[in-house]
Amino acid sequence: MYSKIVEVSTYGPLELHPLTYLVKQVVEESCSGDGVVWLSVEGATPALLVLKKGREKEFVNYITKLIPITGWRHGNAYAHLTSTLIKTNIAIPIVKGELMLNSSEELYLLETRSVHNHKRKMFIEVHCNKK
Amino acid sequence: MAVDVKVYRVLVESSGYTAIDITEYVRSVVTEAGLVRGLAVVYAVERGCSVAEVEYELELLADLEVLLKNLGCVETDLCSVVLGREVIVPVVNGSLFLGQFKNIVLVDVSRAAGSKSVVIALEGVFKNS
Repeated sequence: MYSKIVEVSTYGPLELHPLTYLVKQVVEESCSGDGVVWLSVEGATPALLVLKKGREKEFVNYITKLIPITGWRHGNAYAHLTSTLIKTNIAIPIVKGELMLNSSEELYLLETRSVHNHKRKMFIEVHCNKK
Repeated sequence: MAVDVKVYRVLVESSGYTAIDITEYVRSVVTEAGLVRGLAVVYAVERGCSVAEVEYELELLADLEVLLKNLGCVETDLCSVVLGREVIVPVVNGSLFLGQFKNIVLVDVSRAAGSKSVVIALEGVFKNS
């Protein structure tokens, strides 16, 4: 079991930040066999998701239709509700040291809030049968 | 360091159609079990129940209720599909990796009051193992 915490710098609102490169690095240094990588982002407003590259705008349009930015009681409810619905955790299998993502797909951190140079802590844990 | 799995069941009193902050239940199970690092899977067993991660703040929970109604899952008893029945929370140095505002919440859209079962499966490195 290998785990580490990394910091990711984000901006928003509703911006998708690619993370595949980062997770690949962690998998490369920890696993050459089969396993699984668990990812979790700290906080009550971000989200983690896998999406086909090029569909970023489509996704943001979809999520804002489902969860409009305004019209809620809580100040930034849209950010919280998006995070709750999309979730802040994800698990991706590793086969022979390779992260099981298609090359056309990307793992994203969704920064929902209107922030600039915001630091998000990410927990990454790798379970693997061969170092 | 050996990796082990320990599973616990806790009973949470629900009035029915409510949301209950169960973060402290999970935290105390992690502490009592002595999980130092690993993962905590928190899973709702009962019909109509989900486990979600959301800030436990009354106005936000009211917003969540509106969202679930808008999605049509309350009347159809499908909220456990939409929200999911489990969350997986990392444990780092014996602490839940959540952040300041994220709570673990049992969302019960059933109209049935009573004790609701939540299973907490811990996987990782434990003290004294």
